Amino acid sequence: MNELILLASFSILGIALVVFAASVVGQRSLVYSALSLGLLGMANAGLFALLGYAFVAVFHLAVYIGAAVIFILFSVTMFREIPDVEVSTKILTVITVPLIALILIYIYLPYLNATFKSQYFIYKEISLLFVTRYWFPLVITGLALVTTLIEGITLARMEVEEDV
Amino acid sequence: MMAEDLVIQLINELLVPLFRFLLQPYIFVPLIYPGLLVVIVVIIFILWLERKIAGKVQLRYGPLYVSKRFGGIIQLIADLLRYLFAEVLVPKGADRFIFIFGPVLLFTSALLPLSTIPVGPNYAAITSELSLLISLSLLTIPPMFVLAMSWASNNKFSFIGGLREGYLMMAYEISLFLSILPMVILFKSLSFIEIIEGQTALWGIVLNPLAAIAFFITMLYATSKYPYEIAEADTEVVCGPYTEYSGILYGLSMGYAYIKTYALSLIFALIFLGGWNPILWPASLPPIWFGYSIPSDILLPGLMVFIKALIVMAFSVFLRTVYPRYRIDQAIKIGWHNLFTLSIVSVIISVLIVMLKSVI
Repeated sequence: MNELILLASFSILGIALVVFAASVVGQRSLVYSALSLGLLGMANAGLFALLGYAFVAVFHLAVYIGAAVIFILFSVTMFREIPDVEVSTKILTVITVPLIALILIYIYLPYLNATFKSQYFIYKEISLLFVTRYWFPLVITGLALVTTLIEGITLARMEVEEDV
Repeated sequence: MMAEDLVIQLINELLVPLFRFLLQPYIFVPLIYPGLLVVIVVIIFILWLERKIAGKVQLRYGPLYVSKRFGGIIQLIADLLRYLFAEVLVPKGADRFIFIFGPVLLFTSALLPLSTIPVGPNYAAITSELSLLISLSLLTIPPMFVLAMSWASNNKFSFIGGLREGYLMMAYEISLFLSILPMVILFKSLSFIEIIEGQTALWGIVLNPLAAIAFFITMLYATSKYPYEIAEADTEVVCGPYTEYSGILYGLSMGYAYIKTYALSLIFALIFLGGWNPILWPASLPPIWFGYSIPSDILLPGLMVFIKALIVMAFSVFLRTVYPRYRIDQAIKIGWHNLFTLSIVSVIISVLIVMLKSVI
């Protein structure tokens, strides 16, 4: 029963993923494209969660949808007239689609009969590994992020001063 | 005799499997408590309470005439029925698809975080060690639909309201995640159940009151409650993103804000007010149905969390009567300058407490 529910969930999310991905590039309205991108992100997060990577799914939701997609949607709704940027890409599509299909078949064909199991991690152990074994890259990343934060705050404050 | 047999057969073949199905945490939590069924009751009750509190503060009666004996609470049921049966009008020039499906998706996505809330120590739909993070991440989805709805309405007030909602989200989202970090540092977990277990002696609000204040202010931002009721400011933008909505679609849109208040109040009760602590009860009181003790696993802990969440909700709606509304630029400035700083300071306090604990 559980296997059946899992298979059904995977199938539904997989189909949703393909449909929304096609919708992102196929929609004429930028708002619809942005909304499809958000729904695509939700389906993607669902797939990550089903595969056992809950942490990735959570960050996918918070960062990809909560920040990036909302920002895109926020920007595109401001366009009253959507600029018409239709470039004929039919020849490019005819060439790239079979090429990508062939590459994907080449990559995934050896795994056709392979079975995969969901991975479940103990996140405390991973964080402990980061702090003990990979502490130096962690410190560098932390410093880089703090620098970016300070840059952001400085830029924002400069803008306010100019206005005054 | 035949009738008795029929009743017994009916109970065995229909009611027992139905109860067994409904008592599964992954059905009970999203559909009954704290999910859909309780949500509808809470929306009706909190709307009544909000109007009643405002009435008392402003020396008015508030809802009264429909069922005077019960303080006019049936008025809200009448309002709900009116929303259900009123005609839905789609304005000319609106984007029909998003206009109609937007509120439905908004309401549904607002219910998602509730499925991560544990009812009791042994009863939760999601037992992940990341349940707190999952619930907050799911809370970031609905504003996407609010923005789309405001665009689809093809109305100046809706559009401005939607943009205001977007601006506010940018001001509070980082603080929302930062204000839970102090509790995560103190209790060394991202799981609701483990955080509540850590609060048996002292509640989170006592250990780090600044974090609780930061989370509560963020909650007011996220739910558009006074003094941050900016997106739906009725004296400026009619009803913000929901200006053009009517009937059941307006009911769903309005319900979204209350579901969000309810979800965030539950989270506040769980991580700052000790969850189902401090009442201690025997591990498994009868009746035990299908492996779950109804009083010990569901009823008592669930009721305790619900009462605490209701008090938090009542306080957040009470603020409507005593605070004026901030301007959007003031709210953004407070969000980045004060709330963000407050969250960072609360994180530092938690780090200091943990360091002190390890030294002692």
